[in-house]
Amino acid sequence: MTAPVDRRSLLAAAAALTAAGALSPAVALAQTASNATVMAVALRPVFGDKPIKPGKVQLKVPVVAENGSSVQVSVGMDGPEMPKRMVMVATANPQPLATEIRFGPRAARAEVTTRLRLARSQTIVAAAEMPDGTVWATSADVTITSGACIELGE
Amino acid sequence: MKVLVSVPAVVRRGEAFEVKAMAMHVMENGFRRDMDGKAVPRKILNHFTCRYNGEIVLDCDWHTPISANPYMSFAVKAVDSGTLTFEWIDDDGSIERHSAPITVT
Repeated sequence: MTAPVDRRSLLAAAAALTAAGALSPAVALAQTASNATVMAVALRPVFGDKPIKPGKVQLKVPVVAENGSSVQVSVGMDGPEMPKRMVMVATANPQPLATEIRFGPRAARAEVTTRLRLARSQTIVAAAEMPDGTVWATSADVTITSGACIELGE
Repeated sequence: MKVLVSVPAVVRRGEAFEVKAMAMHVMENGFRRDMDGKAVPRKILNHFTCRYNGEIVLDCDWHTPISANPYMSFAVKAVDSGTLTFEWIDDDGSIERHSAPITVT
């Protein structure tokens, strides 16, 4: 015989659901804040104390990559605007700055695909400095199941 | 050094076309040690430039997180028939150049 669904268990279930629902925005907010910190730290060597604004930059990385020695990464911009330069940072590599790209008059779009060697699972940061001097950035996480042999013992 | 470059033979004026370039290079990052525990000296391609009839398409600094056999693909604006030139600069100072013809109709 199945247990009857009483008012008490229904209320408990409802409360649990509400709590979960109320929690998720807070979690999302905390994540955004930590991403902002990661981006600020990653970009300080390139842009100094310039404020880093989230957005405008598109970054495509695989969610999971089997081999860290060659991970395809694409960067681009949300609109047709051409940045002065774009950078990619592999935040957990021994030397994080991966590339700085300056586009010339013959580039059709601010869009580049390349391959990175990643020591371990980490956050990739891509940033663009616009002609007006503002810096925009986006980050994405990639999980590496087998890291690149970057240092002895890894 | 061997390089592989992919450029369409014919493109239409005003259109964007994709170019892919890969160089065969170990990109030794300088953080690794050999069997005897000695540090393997860094030797990477640290600079890559693509020009179209002399005008820059893109000009990049490369650092150690760029993978072995470094690859880049990007979009170029078709202007006039001519030549795309590619240039890779090695840590040892050597420069590798490659060019590909392009016809714009």
